[in-house]
Amino acid sequence: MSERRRRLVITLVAVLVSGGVLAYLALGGIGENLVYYWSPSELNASGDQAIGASIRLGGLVEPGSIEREPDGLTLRFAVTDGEESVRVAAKTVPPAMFREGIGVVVEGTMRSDGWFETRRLMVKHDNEYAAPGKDEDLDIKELMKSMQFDESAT
Amino acid sequence: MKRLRWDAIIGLVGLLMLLVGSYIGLFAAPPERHMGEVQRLMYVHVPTAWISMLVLTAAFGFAIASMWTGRPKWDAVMTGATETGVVLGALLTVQGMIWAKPTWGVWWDWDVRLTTTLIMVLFFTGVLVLRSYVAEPERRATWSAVAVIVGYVDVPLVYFCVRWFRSLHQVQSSPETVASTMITPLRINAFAMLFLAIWFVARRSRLELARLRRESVALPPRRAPRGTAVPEAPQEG
Amino acid sequence: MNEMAMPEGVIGGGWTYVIAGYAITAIVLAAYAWILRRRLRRTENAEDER
Repeated sequence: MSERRRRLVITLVAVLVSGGVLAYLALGGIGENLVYYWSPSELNASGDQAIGASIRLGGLVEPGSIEREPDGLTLRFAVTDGEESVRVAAKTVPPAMFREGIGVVVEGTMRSDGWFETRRLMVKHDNEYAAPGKDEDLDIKELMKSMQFDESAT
Repeated sequence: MKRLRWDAIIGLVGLLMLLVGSYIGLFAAPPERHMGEVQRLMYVHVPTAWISMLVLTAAFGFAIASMWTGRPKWDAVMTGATETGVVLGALLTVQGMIWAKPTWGVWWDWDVRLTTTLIMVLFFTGVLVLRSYVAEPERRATWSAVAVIVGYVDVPLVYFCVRWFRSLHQVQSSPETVASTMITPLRINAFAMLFLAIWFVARRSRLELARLRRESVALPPRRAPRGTAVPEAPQEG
Repeated sequence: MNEMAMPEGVIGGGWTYVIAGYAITAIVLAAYAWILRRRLRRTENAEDER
């Protein structure tokens, strides 16, 4: 095999490896194994398995569910995916954008009393950037898109 | 100036555009309704993201050209694009962390976008390190080109992962989801970053080509390496 | 700043982050341009000496 031919074969193999890996990740359903956060429905369905395990839970902050405990240390709210919700007790200062209807990802564990306990509360911004004064659309279905539950549905 | 090369002109245009775009982004564009002033980071973060991926895509193309032709020219341009991609990728990561803290509430999390971006930066840094360890020019060209081609797989992954997998990072915005007053500075800075990147790639390629030339001059055994005894004039006669 | 009655869910202030982000961008781009210039000069000077 000539030198040039050898190089071309190597190139072809390299491109195939590269393309193959990408195609596998795109089409191979690895999303099921690579779940960054659980939806409230998935968490509820897992039952006792979730208790004590280290888990990320994602969803929208259910409107009307936010409560601050008088001690000022604990924040209570519900995370919803539109179908089911999970009650969360967060012992942390929430990011400034935390509000009703916004996407959040909380890292923590399920307690046996039915509360999800977290010390790491992250706010998930959607892909909308608007100037101040634009009307807020609190359409939960629309907001839920930012949680990508259907894209990587199990 | 003695000679103003074409790449210097592109670099200057890029710099000017970056100044104009950033000025508009910082002082003329509105704050975001929820993010407030912090959203202004978009005008540097998003162009850096786009152009880092674009430059590494070019590196992928140059790697194939280098393998196809075996010419040092493409090897040099591939190196230029790889290094520029690494610099922009590293910058992108730091900008992202600075934006993440006030918005998400954390500096970092192992979500798929952040992780694949970090892999991208580390992998292409590795390609540059690999190059510095292989002394033989042809072998170096082949190995680093193959590494770029194989490792490039991560770049489309960085782009698409937010659509394929759940992540903390949001999916791509579009002109429909971004206020029109924010789009102008974003576009200006995107082109600014593109021109600056072209300038970087051109300069870095020139450097690599000069090094390759030096090597190929030094390589033939006609001239002994500096510091070794030169047995050309025997004393006994 | 925290004591002020900020509207819910809006980041107040935040210029520090903006300045930090733009400053780092400027520093990295300028530093890379400068490093490239230095490396190029050295290599091309060495080349001219031949």
